[in-house]
Parts: sequence; structure tokens; C-alpha cells
Amino acid sequence: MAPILEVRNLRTQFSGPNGYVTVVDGVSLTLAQGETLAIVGESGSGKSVTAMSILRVLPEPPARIAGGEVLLEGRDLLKLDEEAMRAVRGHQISMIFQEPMTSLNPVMTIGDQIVEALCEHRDISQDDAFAEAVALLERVRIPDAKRRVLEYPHRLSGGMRQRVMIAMALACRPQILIADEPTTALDVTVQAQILTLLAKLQSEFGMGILLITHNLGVVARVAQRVMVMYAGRVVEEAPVGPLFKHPLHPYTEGLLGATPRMHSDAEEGARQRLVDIPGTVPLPDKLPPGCAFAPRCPKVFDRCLKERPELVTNRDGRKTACFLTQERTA
Amino acid sequence: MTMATESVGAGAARRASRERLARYLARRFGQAAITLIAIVILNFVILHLAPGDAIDVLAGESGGAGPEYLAQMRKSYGLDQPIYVQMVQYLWNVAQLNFGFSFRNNVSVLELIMSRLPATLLLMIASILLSFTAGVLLGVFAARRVNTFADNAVSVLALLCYATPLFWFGLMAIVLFTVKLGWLPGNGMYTIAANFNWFEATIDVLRHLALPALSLALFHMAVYTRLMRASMLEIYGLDYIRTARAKGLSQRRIAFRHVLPNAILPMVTMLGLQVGALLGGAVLVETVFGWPGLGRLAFDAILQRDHNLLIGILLFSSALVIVANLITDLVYAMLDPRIEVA
Amino acid sequence: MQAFRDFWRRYRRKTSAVIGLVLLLFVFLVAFVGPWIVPGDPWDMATMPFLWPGTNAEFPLGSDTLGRDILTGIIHGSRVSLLIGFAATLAALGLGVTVGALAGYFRGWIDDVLMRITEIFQTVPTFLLAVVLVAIFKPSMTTIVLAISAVTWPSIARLVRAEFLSLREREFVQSCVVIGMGETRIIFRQILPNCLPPIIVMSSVMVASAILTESGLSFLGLGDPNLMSWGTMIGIGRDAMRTAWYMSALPGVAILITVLALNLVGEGLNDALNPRLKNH
Repeated sequence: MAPILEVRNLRTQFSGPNGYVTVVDGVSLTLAQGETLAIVGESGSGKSVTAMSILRVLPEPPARIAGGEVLLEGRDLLKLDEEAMRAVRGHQISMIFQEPMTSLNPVMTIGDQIVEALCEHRDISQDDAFAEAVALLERVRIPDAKRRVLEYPHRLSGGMRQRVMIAMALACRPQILIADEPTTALDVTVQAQILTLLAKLQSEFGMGILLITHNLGVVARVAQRVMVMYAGRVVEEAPVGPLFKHPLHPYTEGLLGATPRMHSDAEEGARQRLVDIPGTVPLPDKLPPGCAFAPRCPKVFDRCLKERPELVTNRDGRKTACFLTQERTA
Repeated sequence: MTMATESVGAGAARRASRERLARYLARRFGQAAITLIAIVILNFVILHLAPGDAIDVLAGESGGAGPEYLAQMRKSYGLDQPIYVQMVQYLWNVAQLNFGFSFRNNVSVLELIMSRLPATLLLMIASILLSFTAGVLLGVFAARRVNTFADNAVSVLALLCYATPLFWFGLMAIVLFTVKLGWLPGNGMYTIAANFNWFEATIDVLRHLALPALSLALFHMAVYTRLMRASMLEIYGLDYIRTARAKGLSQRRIAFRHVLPNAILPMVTMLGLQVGALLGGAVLVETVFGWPGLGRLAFDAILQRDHNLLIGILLFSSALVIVANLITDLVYAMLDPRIEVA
Repeated sequence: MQAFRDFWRRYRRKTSAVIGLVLLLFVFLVAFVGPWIVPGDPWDMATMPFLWPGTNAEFPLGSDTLGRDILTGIIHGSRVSLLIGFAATLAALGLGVTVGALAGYFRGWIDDVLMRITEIFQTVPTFLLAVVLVAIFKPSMTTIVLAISAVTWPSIARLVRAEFLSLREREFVQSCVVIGMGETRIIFRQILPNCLPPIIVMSSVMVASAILTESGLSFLGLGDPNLMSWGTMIGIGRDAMRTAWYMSALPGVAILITVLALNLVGEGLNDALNPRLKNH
């Protein structure tokens, strides 16, 4: 499958008191139609910033995209001016966010918020857009859509609001949906409903989904490929099955180890959080000279402290950035 | 759910919301009434703390009051009675809208106040509109250009307006626009003895209104500008603005359709507070511009030592503030869909 | 000392705050040193009336309708303004802190009653109330100071109450309660020092608004009849505005500079004392 989205060597920086700090460092990824790629990592790993850099919705300043390419069907989004980029946002690439409770404008009806997205990108009358908004709400399984469309967000539960967000994101049939922790703020049962809905809509619309999460239970459910990020860099990339069965990078091992036994209990599985590796992600302006994970790594050795491992493709086609796996396969 | 149960449910919901509104209004009116009574008591206390007895303060210095009238007043205020009886009597008088009599002007205080009220209301509404509109526009302008030269210029302007005594600004405006340039009148509310039709008369009043309204609006324009700028910047950082950006909306649409309506909400609560400040400022501005309103009446009352009238104006103004606060609350409840009373 | 150096380092980061401080120091200098350099009674007829500024080196700022020296008046007025501004603020602080601390610490019915009273004072138009108080109790330095503090204490009370309500729940206060420390001691030694920064910031703005209120009162003829204040001078100049506008303009500029300086210093203090808010 030819990728619709290809990110090459993306570098995003934030201005700090002592100059710019690199938060996303050389991230590359591809996404094909109908495919779901998950980006996982602890908070501070740069996964959300990567997603927002692709859509260029980070506030600039303080952020700036310092390098790389974001190719949408071969066209580099980073070279577009603001006008052209606006035509991409919500049209070819849409995004939904972690906090459905705060991601909708409280003083606009949900209908108006969907109509607005439709009218921005399509030549459509207000009346048609409104009818379309009702149809979209029905598509995301919101009961009584005709009445709900006139309501303000505070009347809806978190799960319902996330459905509204999804309806809004899919309004213009985007080729790519970026979902940034879409279920983190929701109840366990609602999480499952939203994931099922996303999968169903993906098969109907055929869009590629870039799923940002720290919940490995979610990854196992919906993704085909996984990219593990640590301290702004990709440390491992693999298809879901092999990654869960046989993680190569010690950090991925740690993540999976920190995860309570998979599927043992539906409730537990959905609550899996990546918190049990001792230590924390280093701040982007305080990275150690060698491998960023070295201070927390149980298998650390001399070279890790001096030299930074590159992301290398192994013989079996999997990618890791760890001297151990590279030496093993070399 | 069948149609029948549906409509029954909707009817019940409407009824419940009407009841909620009624309860809310009743509570707010109750609070307002208590505040008003407390303010009347405060006035009573001020009168009794003043040197001499209340009648000395009320009438003794105002001159023109004959001894038989003083005696009658002492009786009507029950000054021979214990203090709590006097207070009840005072409350009872005020409840009947009996604020007493102005000897200097030889009419009841209420009549005087009512005759001056329209001019003050016109001045106040004009300066509220002016300060609110200008403040919102300047605040939006500055917030969209945060940390640029234009933003800083607006901040400096706001700081200067903050620090300028409004009566002094009024005087300087008269010097510039009336004396030097001759563009606008600087005294009174309309041209005396001019033979105008209604249109010319309206324009005439508006021309007289311009400088006093601007002087009175200046301070709150600065308040609104700073508040609006801060409010806009805060909203710009919220999640739903990121959503709006991710939808591909233009900066302009985001600013005016998403940020502004949310940023303006906290400003509405300021409006009620502004009314009190404006009534105080009106004393100065109306004095400077000879505007025939309540403020000018208060100034005359000071000159004539007509304390009865002065207290009457204070009471009446406080009541206006309470009404304004009530209206503000209702407007806010209507504007913010999250408050479900309406 | 180290704390002060840190404070100064944060304060001077903002140019406007430094400008404000310089202006304020200048006003203080005028108030303290001025009378030695330009002696004389501001009420004395020193020269011919209607002398324009810059026409006579002996009276650089000119004279008013009765030939009183305007420079002497402005210097005298700076003392009046600063004195009334600071005295009224101190008095308002005394009342406001007491009310706010009691309401915030004891909560319950004490809080309800005190906040109701505060609300009443916030409903009455403040300037009008000050006018009524001064007019009824006869204009003097004391009545003006008391009247201004009577209309400004509620904002302090609300601020202190809010701080007390939140600080009271903190661990360090709770542990004082647990070890059986007396309530007076907790209020004055533990909680009050911790809400000083916002009180200080608000005070500087209150001095500014007290100066504005005083100038308004004396412009209306409700100033202390023995003191030459800036508002009085503007009121005097008003009668000759068409021909000699400088008489009102100059004292107005003095008010503007002083109030501006105090507001700038207030903002600077806010940034320096509340570092957690500096991002806004």
C-alpha cells in the first residue's frame, strides 16, 4: 500500500529561557489508507507534539518546526502558507483530542460547530450543512440527533462529546484522522464504545488513523503498527503482534512489563498505564549525552552512556534504536 | 420513546425550567431587598453619627426652614422617640418614597431627583456603551497582536486613562474642543432658545453629550481594554480554540466567533459594578460640563449644604446600582448557556 | 537580604516598573525636599495674577487668579496627596484586614454577617458615599482620610478573606491547629504573613485611587480648607479656564504622574511578588 502520509525527519523545538529546546527530534513515519498507526510513550515523550506538528496547530511562537518534511500525497505541508494549510486542516487531515469536556466551544451549539467545519471546506448551503450535521451525529450513534444538534456541549456527557468531536472531524471525509489520546479521559465502558466506533467508521470512510496513546490495551485493540517514542525520538517501530510478543528495545520491554497481564480482566486491561518503569522521562533540555533511556535502562552498558544509538532496520524488518539489539543482529 | 411520552417529557422539562427561573428571580429579588434595607439603615447611621441631631444636619444648615417646620419634622422623624423607633420611622418614610423635602429648592427630594434622572441616565448609558465597545475593540486588537508595538501602545494608552482624573480630562477637553477648536459645546445639555426641529434637537443633544460621555467613559474604557485583552489571551490557550484551529478556521473567524464571545462573558459582570462608579463620577463630570443630572444636583446640594437632598441622592443611586446588578445577572444568565435558569 | 536581592532582580526585569519607581521617588523627593528649595505659603499672593508659565524665572510655573505661585502650590499639594493617599490606605488596611481575616478564619455566621456588610459598602456608589460623608462631617484632613478608607476597605476585606479561606486549609496551618497553637497566634503569625504579597500589591493601587478620590473631593470644594491640594488648584483654575488653562492643567499633570507611578509600581510588585503569575 502506498502511504498517503509520510513524515521525514521531523524536528520541533520550543523556545525556552536559554534558547530553543528540541522536543521532537528526527521522527519519521508513514501511514497508509485504512491503516492505524499507534504512537506510544510516557507523557513528555513528544508524541502529542509530533501529532500537532503534522497539522501545524502548535502555537508559534513558542513552538517552531525546525526541520523535516510532512508529505501528504507527496505535497510537503511544512512548505505551505497559512491559507493553504488551513485548507488541509479539518479537510484532508482532522484531529480529535484528549479532553472532550473542554474541546468544544461552550457557548456554541454542537450543530453550529459542525456546520462551521462543513462550510469552511465545502461549497454547501447553511441548510444543507445543518442536515448533514444531523446525519453525522446519527453516524456517530448519538441518539435523538435532531434534538441534540441544537444543544450546547455542557448538556452532553464526556463520551457523547467525544462522539461530537469525531463527527466534526469526519465532516469533510478526511484522508487522515489524528486521534490524540481520544479515550484517556473517558470511563472504561465508554472507552470501548468509542474505540469500536472509530474502527467501524474507519472501515466505512477508509481513512488512515494516527493514534496517540499511552494505553497499550488500546493499541492492541485497534492498531496495526506501533511506534514507541522516548524523549522526542523513535526508539522502536514494529507491527503490533511481533512487538507485543517480542519487544526489542528495553524501554518497550519495560512498558509491556509495567502493563498488568493483558486481557486478564477487561477493566484492568483498559486501565493499563505506562508508569511503572522507575524514574521519569528526562526533560528535553537535560538529555544525557548518550542514549536518553540509559539512566533508567536495566541493561545499560558503557557505550550507551557515551554514544546515541540511531534507529536502524534489523534483518526482520523491525526498527530499533538500541545498541543491544543492533549488536545482537549485527 | 413514543411521540406522546416525548412531548410530555418536554412539557415537564419546560415547566421545571420555568420554576427554576421563578425561584432564582425570587431569591435574587429577596437579596436585593435585604441589601436595600441595609443601605437605608447605613444612611440612618450616618445621619446619627453626624454632629448635632438628625434635624440639625438635615435642615438646620439648609436655611429657609422655619421653626414650625423643624418642629413638625422632628415630630415626623420621631426624634423624641427611642432610637430604634426612629429607625423604623425612617425606614417607613423611605419605603413610602418619602425622602424628605428640599428647602432650598422648595420641592420634595423625590421630585427633584426624578426631574434630574433622565439626563443622568442618558449620560450613563452613553458612557457605558462607549467604554464597553471601545474597551472590547481595543482589547481584541491588542490580544491579536500580543507583544507587538501596537499591543504596547494600547497598554500605555490604557495606563494613562487609568491614571487621569476624569474631571481634569473633562476640563482639558473643553479647553481643546470647545475653546481652541470650537468643535463641540462644553456646557449644558442643549442649546438654549434654539428653534430646532426634532432631528436638529437630537443632534444638538448628542453634540453636547460627546465630551461628558467621553470623560466619564475613559476610566472604564481602560478597565475593559485590559480585562478584554487578558481574557482573550486566556481563552486563546484553551482546548476548544485548538479544536477550532484544527478545523481549519481562519484566525479572524477564531478570534471573533470563538474567542470573543467567551472572553466577553466576564466583562458583563463588570457592567453592574461600573454603574456605581459612574454615578460617583457623574458628580464630577456633570459639575464640569454643567450637565443637568443627578451628579450636578449633588454638587448643588453640597454648595447649599442641603444634606437631606444629598442623602436622598445617595439612597436613590444605591437603589439604581442594585437594579443594575440584577439586570447584569439576568443578562449574564441569558448569554451563558451553561447557566440554566432561563 | 538575599530575598530582597531576588525581589529586586525580578522587579527590575520590567522597564515600566522601573520607570514607575523612578517617577514615584521623584514625587517623594518633591514632597520632602521641595519646601526647602521653594519656601513660602501656597496661599500667599506672591506676584501678579495670571502670570503664564515660563515668563518669569522667579515663578517658573506661573501664578493663579490671585497671584499665588503655582510651583509652591504643586509642591505643597504633593505632600497633601501622598499623606492622604497613604493614611487613607493604612486606615482601610486596618479595617479591611481585620474584617477579611475574621471572616476567612472563622467562616460560618461571622463570615456571612461580615460579607453582607462588605457587600453593602460595595453596592453604595463609593465616590458619592465619600462625598456625603465629607460633606456631612465637615471637610478636614481627618474626615477625608476616614471617608476614603470607609469606601475602600471592602476590596481589601474580600482579598484577605479569600486568602485566609485557602491558606487555612494548608498543611502548615492545620499542623498549628493540631499542636494546639492559639488562634490569635495562628492568624497573626502563620496566615497573615503569607497573604502579605497580594495585600502589598493592592495597597499601591489603593494609594493611587485614594489620591484620585481626594483630588475629586477637593475639586468639588470638599478639601481641607487649610490645605492647598492639587484638586483645589484645579478647582481654582477652572474659573479662568478659557484664558489661562495652564492653572488647571499643571496640577492635573502632577496627579497623572503620581497616580501613573503608583500603578506602574503596583504592576511591578505584582510581577515580582507573584512569580507564578509572570507568564501571563
